Amino acid sequence: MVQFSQSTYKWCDFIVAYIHLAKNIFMRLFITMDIIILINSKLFDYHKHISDDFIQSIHNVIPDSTIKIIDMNSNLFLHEIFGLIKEFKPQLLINFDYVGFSLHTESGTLSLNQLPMQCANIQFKSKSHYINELSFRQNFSMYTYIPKDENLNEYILEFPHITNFSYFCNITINNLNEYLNSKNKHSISKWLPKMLKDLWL
Amino acid sequence: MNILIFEWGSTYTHNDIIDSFSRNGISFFVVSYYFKNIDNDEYFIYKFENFLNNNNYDAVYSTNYFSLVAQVCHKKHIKYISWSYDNPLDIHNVDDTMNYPENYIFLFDKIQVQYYRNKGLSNVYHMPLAANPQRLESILCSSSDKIRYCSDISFVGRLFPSQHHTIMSLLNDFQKGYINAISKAQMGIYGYYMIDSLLTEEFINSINDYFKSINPQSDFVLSKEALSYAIGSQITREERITILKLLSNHFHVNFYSNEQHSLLDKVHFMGTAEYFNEMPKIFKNSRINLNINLKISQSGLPLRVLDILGAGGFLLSNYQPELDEYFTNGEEVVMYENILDAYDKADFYLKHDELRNSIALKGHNKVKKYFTYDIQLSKIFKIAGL
Repeated sequence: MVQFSQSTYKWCDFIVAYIHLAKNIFMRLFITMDIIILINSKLFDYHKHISDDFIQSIHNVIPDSTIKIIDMNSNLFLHEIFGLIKEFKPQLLINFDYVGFSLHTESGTLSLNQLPMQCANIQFKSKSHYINELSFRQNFSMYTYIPKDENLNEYILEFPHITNFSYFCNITINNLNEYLNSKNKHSISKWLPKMLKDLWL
Repeated sequence: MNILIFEWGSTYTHNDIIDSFSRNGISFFVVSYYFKNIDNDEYFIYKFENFLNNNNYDAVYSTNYFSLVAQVCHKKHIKYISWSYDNPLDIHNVDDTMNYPENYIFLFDKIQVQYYRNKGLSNVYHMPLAANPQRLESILCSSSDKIRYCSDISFVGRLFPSQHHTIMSLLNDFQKGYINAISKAQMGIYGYYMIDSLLTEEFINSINDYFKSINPQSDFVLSKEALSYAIGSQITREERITILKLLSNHFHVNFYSNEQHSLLDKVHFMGTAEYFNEMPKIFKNSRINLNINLKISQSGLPLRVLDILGAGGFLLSNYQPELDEYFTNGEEVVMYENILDAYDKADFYLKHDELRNSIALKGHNKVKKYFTYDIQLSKIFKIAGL
């Protein structure tokens, strides 16, 4: 068996890392994306903080992205909010705590299901807070991300009409305050590429 | 039987169909998706294939036909049943996917079926649409509903804004004159859409040659189907406006739509009507319910007709061959043959309450007996070999 010196291995690691970095830089140069983040600053006081973190993290991963924050607690009527989303034509909509699920069609289905876009629903609290929201059928262009201290299998069994469940980075219900008090955006930045990969973006 | 139901957007008939599936013990699972591109969507294909791989389905069902669903079902050799309430179908290329052996395509218009059969497609079948009279009967009207929806005549429908004006602005004088002439001729004819045979290949080529001559940089090509639809929509628009205008000069007319029109100044514009709970109340509380078909739909019973009759409403409709075939004119429905006839019949039946109510009841009973979802879906499954 051929043995290489430690320095050779270090050079190989360096070259692989360099290739990976170069590839990421190359990819970042050409990806553009229009993104909407839906929050409700009145119902969830942490939404503004986390949306700011998301914006920074997204810009790190996709420098040429246009991000619009829509606060469901604005003075707009629901149909006006839906009109804004439709007009913006996002490739990706990030929906914090299912706030966008207050937009319904006349037949009671989700209005967000009527839009040609990928959607990431990100849940920050335990299941019991979202029993109504989790009862809606979601398009399979939607991914639902739950905190890491929730039981994924339970969700899959209890909500078979929701086809895509996964975990949301390392932010959990229990460490949410810790996260909010820290300046650590690292978790979201590390997790974002996984989310984009899930959604084929 | 285990069926995967695919839903795109929010279809009117979805709840009634799953209601029928449940009532008849058919096991099903619903998935929904909104295409970014109805001809090309790799994410959809990947995900939809996974649904079929991970479960044992006897067939896929959708309301309206989707080429990409057909593609996946073809690859997986799973039957694909589609039952459309759209006419024409929203398909860009007939030949690509419609002739797959897994397809069972049900259309409500016999002439539309014949069109595809003439193109060599043997898996296209005729199946009139349906209503859910049981659900519709159970919708009760409060006293405020009765006040809100009460009217001599109601019309629920669009005015069909189309590309007609845009297209006409790009034509030469002869071409404009020709289209105006054939449109005017078609306006007075029910039960036959002659526009298609009058839009010859030569005429379409002359339009595209003229486009090219005034804008050589453009690669836009106008198809016969697009022009035909634009003309048909425009004729329908004009007919609806004319009839509503005429009727509103003499009667109380409620108009439920997403678009007002300046000519309809005496019509009571009510905005849009919600399909599931509100429309049945409109039909029950209007003395006359109008149906004015999209001109391109030459033969079949549109969903609106069955909605009205299923709710127990009195129907006054343009002449439509299959309406005449399945229902008795003057006993179960009333059809008009031209715009003035529409006025005469509206006037007559508004003055004869007992006769009007009797016709509405007989039309309703006909739907209960022959046009429920249970009945039509069982025929569909039988044809599909399920």
